Amino acid sequence: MDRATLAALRFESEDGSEVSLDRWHGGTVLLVFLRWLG
Amino acid sequence: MREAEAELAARGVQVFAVTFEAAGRVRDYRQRETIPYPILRDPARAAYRAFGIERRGATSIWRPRTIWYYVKSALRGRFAGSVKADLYQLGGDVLLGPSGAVCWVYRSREPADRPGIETILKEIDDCRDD
Repeated sequence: MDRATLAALRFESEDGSEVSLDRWHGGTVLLVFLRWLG
Repeated sequence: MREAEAELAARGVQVFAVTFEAAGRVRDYRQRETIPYPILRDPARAAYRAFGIERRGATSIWRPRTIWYYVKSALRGRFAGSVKADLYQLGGDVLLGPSGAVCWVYRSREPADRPGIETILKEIDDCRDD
């Protein structure tokens, strides 16, 4: 995946704010994509 | 994943759970469970699609292994259908290195298919040299 696509991804945090992945540059990040909140 | 929390913390890995479910569902889940990681919402599933984490059709999902998985979940009191979850959405894991590059993507092939923690830790160790 190219960096522009990565940088364009946006998520909503639990406080409702918008976050992007570049916020965590400098560290290793594991994203666990869930199927459902069971 | 929860059992591996110490291993992940020792490696300095920041873990985020990603869901497409509604904000209210996330709040309910947070109150009910003690998940130690922040939950990020991706309601349009743009990131799911970007990483190739698929939504499959019924014939790909409803196999004996999957049915057994849901039976076990139900026996533990977890009923996916009762929370209006999308049972056809698959999960996955994405590892980003310090530079922000994608080190590893695991795409589940069916609902019960997830990588073991040993696999995840090995990928993290390899990624640290990124």
